[in-house]
Amino acid sequence: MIKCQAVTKNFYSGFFKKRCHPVLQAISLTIAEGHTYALCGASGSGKSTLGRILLGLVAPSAGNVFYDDVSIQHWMTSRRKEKDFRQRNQIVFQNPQATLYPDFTIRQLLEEPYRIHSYLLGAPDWDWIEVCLKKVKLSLDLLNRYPEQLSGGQLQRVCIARSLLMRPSFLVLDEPTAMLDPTVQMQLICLLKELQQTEKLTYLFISHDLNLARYMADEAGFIYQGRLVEQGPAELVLQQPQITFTRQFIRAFDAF
Amino acid sequence: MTADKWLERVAVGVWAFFFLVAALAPWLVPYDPAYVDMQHVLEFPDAMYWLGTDSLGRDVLSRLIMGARVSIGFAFVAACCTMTAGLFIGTVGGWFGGRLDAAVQMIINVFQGIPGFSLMIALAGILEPGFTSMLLAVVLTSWTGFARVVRGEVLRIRSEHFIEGLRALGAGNAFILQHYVWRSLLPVISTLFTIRLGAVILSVSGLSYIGIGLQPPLADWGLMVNEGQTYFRTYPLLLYAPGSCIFLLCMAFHILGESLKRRFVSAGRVYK
Amino acid sequence: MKTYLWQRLLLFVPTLLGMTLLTFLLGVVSPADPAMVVMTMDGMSAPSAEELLLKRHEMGLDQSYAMQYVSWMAGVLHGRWGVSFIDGKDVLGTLLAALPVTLSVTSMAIFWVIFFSIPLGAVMAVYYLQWPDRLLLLLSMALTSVPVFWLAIIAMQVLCENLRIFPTSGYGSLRNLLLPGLILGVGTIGAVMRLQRDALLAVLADNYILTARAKGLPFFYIIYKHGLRNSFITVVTMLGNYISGLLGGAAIIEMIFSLPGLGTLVLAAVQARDYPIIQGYVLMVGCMTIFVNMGVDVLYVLLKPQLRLEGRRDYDCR
Repeated sequence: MIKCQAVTKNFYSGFFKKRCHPVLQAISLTIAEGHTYALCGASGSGKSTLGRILLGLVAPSAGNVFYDDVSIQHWMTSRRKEKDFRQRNQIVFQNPQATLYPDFTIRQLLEEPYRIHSYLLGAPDWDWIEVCLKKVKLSLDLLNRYPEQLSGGQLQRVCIARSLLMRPSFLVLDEPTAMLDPTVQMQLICLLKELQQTEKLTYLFISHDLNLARYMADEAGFIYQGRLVEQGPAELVLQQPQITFTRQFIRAFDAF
Repeated sequence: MTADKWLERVAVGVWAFFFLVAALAPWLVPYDPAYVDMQHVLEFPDAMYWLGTDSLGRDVLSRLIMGARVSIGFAFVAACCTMTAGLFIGTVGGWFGGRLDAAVQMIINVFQGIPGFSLMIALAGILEPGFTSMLLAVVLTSWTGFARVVRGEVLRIRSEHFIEGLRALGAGNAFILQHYVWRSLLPVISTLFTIRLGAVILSVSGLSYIGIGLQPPLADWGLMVNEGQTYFRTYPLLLYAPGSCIFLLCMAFHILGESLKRRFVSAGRVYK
Repeated sequence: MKTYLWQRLLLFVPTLLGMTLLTFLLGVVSPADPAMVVMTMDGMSAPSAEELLLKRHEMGLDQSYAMQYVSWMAGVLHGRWGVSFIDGKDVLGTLLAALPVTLSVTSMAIFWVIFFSIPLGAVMAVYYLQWPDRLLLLLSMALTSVPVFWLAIIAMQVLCENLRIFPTSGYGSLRNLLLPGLILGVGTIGAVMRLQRDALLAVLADNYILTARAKGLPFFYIIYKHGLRNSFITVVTMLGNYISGLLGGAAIIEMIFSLPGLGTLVLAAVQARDYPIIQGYVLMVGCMTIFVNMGVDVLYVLLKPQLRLEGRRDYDCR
């Protein structure tokens, strides 16, 4: 169970005179084991920042995040603990092309987790890598290619496979399908749904696409200008919202 | 394009030639370059002394060959030190950012606020002249060029998405810097290194020429120009030989540096 | 725009301070003990240890380096740049007497740089990848890699003694400065040529040049009207760096052409181990470089109209 308690994040600009830009304000939410929490909202509303805070990639200005009642700060106290934490909590980014180092082959990219976590995982376990590639339905022929030679959908599968290598339990999906065309989008969403069943994963699904959110989510929350304006069971929030903004957003989306 | 390739090959040829000469110098020299022979002072080239002798009867060819060893050897050592310093400071500034970066930038600005050659003269003048003070002078005046470029590149790489991807996988600063950032810097660094080699040879020969660089028992090309200028009206080779060596070698480094730069630009690297 | 300009200029203050600190450190690492030098200046007296200690106290040499720096800095601001170890003359006065020579040689070099490299760079850009471009590119690289002291000796022999185009030596008229300025500027000419070429190429690739060509304006008119003006801005911003190179390089040139400038002065001081002069030289050249860079910044703001409206940028701290 992942709990987010009154998380606030401010960004500062300026060299001498600091100016404060609040990005997230007092966000509290809970993600149950094996569930999918869909975080919706317009671009720039702070969805991605919240995802990063949940994984400890960005430190919150105030508030705290708990994994099974253990504060995330506990996991960040030493490098060893952090690596331990990273293995179990992974993220899939929006833009797979930019996330994969362009000078490495897919084979090298899949070895990265083993290089980073060598003391825990040891040498690359190719049987397991092949199993993971099968799980994301990628063929082994791609191993010697470079990222630029693969399609966006394939690259996103590589990213997911790379996360799966470490046997994670929680995945943040930061608009994983935003850069893909609609048919590939649907394939990927189905794959993610399938993986959730087989791997017993918990998802935080960040998206501005309500159809995908409706399909994926068990719970949902709406972010508007850094505030979590509405949250609850997905069918309730995404079908019959109570707040005017959410209603407008959904109406606009469905009309489009 | 063929003209460029041709030029590049000539440059590599010149470079390889000088490098081989420098590496094999002790076995190549026909005479001891420091041996003073008052019987054969200021001789024109003949079968015995292929390039003649200087005012102290030393064989010019031997001194040229030894000079290659001194110049190239020193340039390599100096450029390596410069690169290490610039790489380290530039990475610290660009990677960690914030106040540290501001401090790094300020130090760079201070060092760039004094003309490099002036500072070199001052350092060489204040410290005892010789190899070490020369090295210090060169490194102190030229690390800023490296640091600036490295800082800019690191700043650019830091904001790339794959860095965040690596962090999410659990990679730490040391791992990312070692395996990704410095790897990405390699083209830029190698270009700067090549150009720096030429620049070091040029400025050290200048300092040696005015007598505050490498000191007389060493056979440096700049020193040879200095010693040859008195007699060059009658013995022009004393001036032309060392001077054209400096010129050719620097030119080769320059052409190589430019073609490296062009290659990396066309490979899509952002490069200034 | 005014506040922007002020902020740009304010950023030079730490640089200036850092530069003086560096200069002060040069004095600290110098092997000579100033008290000893002052006491033995007449060449006869051999001071006892107590006398030396007293003198050191009197000169403030027993204080901490920080205190010494503050009092040294105060002296520098009041024009007390120390006295020469050799002839006991005031350093600032000596340097100021030599300054005009260096400035005029450097200005002459800048003149030559602009005179040659702007048009040549434009020619290179216009004939991009054709034979004039390739030839001039090779020339520019040759110019940046030629050792100036060597070139200076040959040029003196050929142009002054054999052809008698320029006077051999002496200082006084503009004619005396032509050749030293040219030789000094040689490396910079090569570099600026390439810079001008690249800048102009970048400008020519821009859309508004395409529009101008589509409107049917003659090509050379476009180059002159749009291209040169814009590429000039790029060159001006880099000129600050090049001027610092010229100021440093002037030392060798002055020595060879026996011009009584800062370079000749400092090289003589180096031979005589006259540390105050060396220190003062670095300070003076450093100040000049920083002032030139300030001027370039002002010029940059004046030349670039967008900046006047844009005002400040948050993260820009040079």
